Formats: sequence, C-alpha cells, structure tokens
Amino acid sequence: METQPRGTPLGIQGLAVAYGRTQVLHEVSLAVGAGEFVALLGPSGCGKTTLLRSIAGFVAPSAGRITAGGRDITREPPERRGAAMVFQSYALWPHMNVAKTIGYGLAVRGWDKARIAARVEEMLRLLRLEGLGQRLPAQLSGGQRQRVAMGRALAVDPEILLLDEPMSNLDARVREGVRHELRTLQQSLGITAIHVTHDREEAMILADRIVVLEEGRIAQVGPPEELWRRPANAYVADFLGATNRLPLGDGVVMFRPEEGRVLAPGETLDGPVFEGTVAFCAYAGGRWRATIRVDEAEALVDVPERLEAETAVRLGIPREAAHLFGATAPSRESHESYAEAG
Amino acid sequence: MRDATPAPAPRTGAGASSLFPYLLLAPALFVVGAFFVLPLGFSVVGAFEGNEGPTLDNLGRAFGLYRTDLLFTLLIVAASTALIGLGAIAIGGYLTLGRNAKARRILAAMYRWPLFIPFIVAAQAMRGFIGQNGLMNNTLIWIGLMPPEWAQSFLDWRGIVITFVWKQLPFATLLVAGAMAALDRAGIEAAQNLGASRMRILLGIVIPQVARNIMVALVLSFVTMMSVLSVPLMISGQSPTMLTVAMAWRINALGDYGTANALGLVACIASGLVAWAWLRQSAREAAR
Repeated sequence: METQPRGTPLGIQGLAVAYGRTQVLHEVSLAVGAGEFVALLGPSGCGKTTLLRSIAGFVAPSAGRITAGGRDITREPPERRGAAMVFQSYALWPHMNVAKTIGYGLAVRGWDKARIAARVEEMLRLLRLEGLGQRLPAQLSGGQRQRVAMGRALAVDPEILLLDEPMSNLDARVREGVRHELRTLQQSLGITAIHVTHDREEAMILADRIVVLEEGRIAQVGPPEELWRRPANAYVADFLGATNRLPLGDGVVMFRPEEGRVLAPGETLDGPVFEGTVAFCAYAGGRWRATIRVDEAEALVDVPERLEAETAVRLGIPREAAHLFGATAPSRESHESYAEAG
Repeated sequence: MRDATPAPAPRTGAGASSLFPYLLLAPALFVVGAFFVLPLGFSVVGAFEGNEGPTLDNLGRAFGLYRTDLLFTLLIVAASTALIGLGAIAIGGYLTLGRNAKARRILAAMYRWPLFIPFIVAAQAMRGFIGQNGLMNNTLIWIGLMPPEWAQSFLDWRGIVITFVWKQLPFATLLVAGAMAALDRAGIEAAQNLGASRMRILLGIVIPQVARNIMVALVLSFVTMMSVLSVPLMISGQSPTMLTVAMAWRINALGDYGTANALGLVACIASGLVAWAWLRQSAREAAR
C-alpha cells in the first residue's frame, strides 16, 4: 500500500451548466487537492450530481474550465479524463459476470488475459469478493453489487474516483460498514475522490472537505468540523442539523436539538436564553425530545428527563452552538437578550 | 374475536366454475382452429394426396422441379435476414450511441418510412430505381461515379434482396432500437467512463443485452419474407425464382394444388426450423 497520494489535483473554474433554459450550475469554482476526499452535499436538485457528471464528461458545461493535474479536460470525452465513476444504480451489466466486469476497463486498455486475471483477483481480495468472480449481478446482494461497481472503477487505477451516491441503495446497517471501508480504501490508495451525497453524516465521516451546494451555487466549503461549528448561512446550518430557528433581535438563532438545554432555576449560560413552555415530550431512545413553544415559534430540544406539558421552562443555547444569522424576512422581535443570561 | 374461518365452498358448483375459463377461450380457439389450423392441416394433407390416394409424388415433383428455387429462396431470405440484422444493429446502435444529436433525430424520424409502404408498391418503386436505365444507374453515371457501359440491371436476386432489406429493415430496427433505448443509460456510461470505444460498447454491452430482441426481429422478418409473392414476381419472375412464385404458378396456371401444397409444406418446414432454433435458444437462456 502506498502512502504518497497517487491521485491528481482537480480544478473547476467558473463552471456553468444549463439543461435547456434551466440553469443548473452557476459559475462553480472549486480546487481539490491530490488524494483529497471531497463530498458534494445538498438536497436533490441542488446540482451536485450535475457537477459530478460534468467532471466525468457526461454533461457539457456552457462555460468554465475543468482541469485534472493541470490538463484542461473540459472538452475531453469521458474516456479520456482519467476519472472512474461509481454510479448510484451501480450500472452493472446484467449479462456479464463479476470477473469480466471488474476486468472490463483493463481489457479496454489492451492488457493480456493473465495480467487481467491477476488484477481481478487482487480487486476481488481487496473488496472481499473472493469466489464470486463467476456470478452474474442478479446473483449478488446489494452490498456485493456495490463492491463490484467499486472494483470495476478501481481496477483501472484511476487518478480521480467519482462516486454518485454509491450507498443510497444499501441498508442502513450495511452502509455503516461500507463507509469506513471506502474511507480506508481511498486513503490507502491515495486516490482523489469526489463523493456526491445528500446524507450529511455520510459526508462528515468520509470527507476531508465538504462542499455544500444550494441551487447550483456553492453555499460553503470546509472541513466537516468547521462546517458543523460555523455554518456560513441559514441554509447550511439547517442542512447540517441546526433545524431549530428562533427569532433573536433582528435575525434568527439556529441550533441543533441535541445542543439546546433546558436550564435549572437560577442557572446561567453563556448564550441566548428563551422563556417558553413545554408543548409536548416524547421518548426518543435514551433521551426525551421536548417541543418547547417560545411565543409563536417552536423548538425541539433533547432533555434527559421527561418534562410535563405546559411546564414553563428556560431554554438556553450555549454560545458555540448558537448560530446567528440576519433574518431574510422581517421577524417578530424577541427580547430575551443575550446579556440577560450572559 | 369471532371465528372467522369461512365455510367450505359448496362443491356442487365446482365443475361448472372450472370450465368457465375454457368457455371464455372457446371463441378464440374456434377462430384459430377453423380459419388457421384446419386449412393448414388440409394443405399438409393435400401435399400427400394424389388421384389414386396417398402419394409422395407431389413432394417428389416439388423437389424435382423446384430444388433450385428452394435453394434460391433460402439464400435470398437468409442473405436479406443477415443484412437486415446488420442494418438494424447499425441504425439502433447509432440512435443509442451516436454523438450528433441532430443526426440522431433525423435518422430516428426517417428510418420508419418504408414501414408504411406495401410490399407491392415497394417492388414497383424498386423496378424504377434499380433497372438498367433506373434512377440509381442514371444518378451514378450523372455524377460520374460510373461509366455508362457499366450500367446493368439489378432486377434479379440482388433486386429482391435490396427490396426485402429496404422494406423489412424498419420493422427490425423498430424492435431492436426500441430495446436498445430501454437499456439502462448508466450501463453505457459506465463502459464509456472506462474508456471503451462506441464500437466496443455496441458489441460488448449493448448487443448482448438486446440479443433476444434481435432474434425476434430476425425470425419474424425471415418468416415474412418467405411468404412474399409480389416482390419476386415484380422484380425477377424468371427462373430461378422464389417458392412463392412457383406456388402461384402451380395453382393459377396449372391448377396443380398437390405440388403447390408440397411447396407450401417445404416453406413451412423452413420457417419452422428457424422458429425452432430460436425457441431452443431462448429456452437455454431462460434456464441459465
């Protein structure tokens, strides 16, 4: 196994893509380092798959440049980009067995049979598919199919690995394991990887850096921890789990249910504090999740003990967990100020 | 809870209700039996009927007089089927893998036209096109691709093949291109992504997945062409000619139903062999 990154840096400058009159990507620019694992994160329709397919060469951009290792590949056909893709549907060929499928890219490159067979064996071992070489896709489980698709892409030793939601068709239980495998594999191969997903946990676990896309534009780029701690705007905060939104001053404060706290009488906290009442409380496994009404708004907060409905409580959000953004729409004034608790 | 076990169904109605599906089928079975199986049976029996009871004379005469025509028919239909297969794969392949979107659209719009032209009209139009002084030769001479003395008539077996292919290709293409269009695009993209050329994708990825549809198109085309009378009659009626012409001749000119039936039986067997080969292959595929 190598330690030096084998992958290639990837550059995207001012990339724009339109389907007919619908602009799907607006001037997206991004630099991915050699051997870096980048996740493109966003809800469906945000343009993340289009961005990936533009890199693969299946979508022609209307403007902008794509470079791989300094080479301009914007107009290159898919087969001359040095990027191997793993498809969401796996795109295995129903008539072709596992060994032939994994060896396909090598046969295309004109390798002789013995060399292909050796490489296929190596891939089967690497992906724990030993003994399945003669099976057809229909005779494999979902997880095995996913690994065959991975093997087919990795067999050609690509400079860049493109992953289009490769785990969305797996059971949650299988997915856990596959994530770690994928990360280990990518690091040991030192390959550059771009991974499209709408699953923020998957993006967090896998990626060196996460790119959050919003309607064809990059909303924020950064390491998982940075995005988690300092989301750049309300959209990113919401997507990264800070779904609670309470009006504060001229703006809003957003926070995650597990980071809000119900304060004991007299307790102080460095961060905004709201007066509210408990509307509802339900057991969520190991903790209780309370819906707390603050004026017109509601927030979900995890609490260790059950709270009776209609109890008056003080809801505190520690400063590092409180994400403050200017309101886009005029919101009701709320006068539980910062200073009061601080 | 109350006991919800249903009472056992009364057995008296069972006989009538088990016959019901057959009653529903009866009209269709009657039509097939009366208008298809029965006449077919008569013509098979007729092939072995002589003036003095059962005989093999008809088959003997059919083979004696028309052996060359039988061979001629099989060669023409086999060659046409092969060309139709190649053409359908080429057109379907371009529609699936072609890079020029405008060319794909034009091709998709154009290839169906001959479907709507009857065989007889196609044959008539072909006469004007491929004859010695036909449009094809005249055009080739006019643009200087061919000296006038090379001009020759294609109104022979070549004309029949050209007409068959022209007429039957759209039908085969419709089946083949439709199946190709229904393939998972991602499978094609995956091969492209790994560096495969379009020819390699067509041969290794697309064709194996639509092989069954190609076979259906070819078997149906083979059987259709075996039964066409108008094309050989109009393009090339002289000897050797196709079995259909010989059959029509035996009946219309000589009133010789026995030999015509024997020729028909031979045509049925030729078509049947093709169908059998196809069914056997599908059964083998299904067993995999």
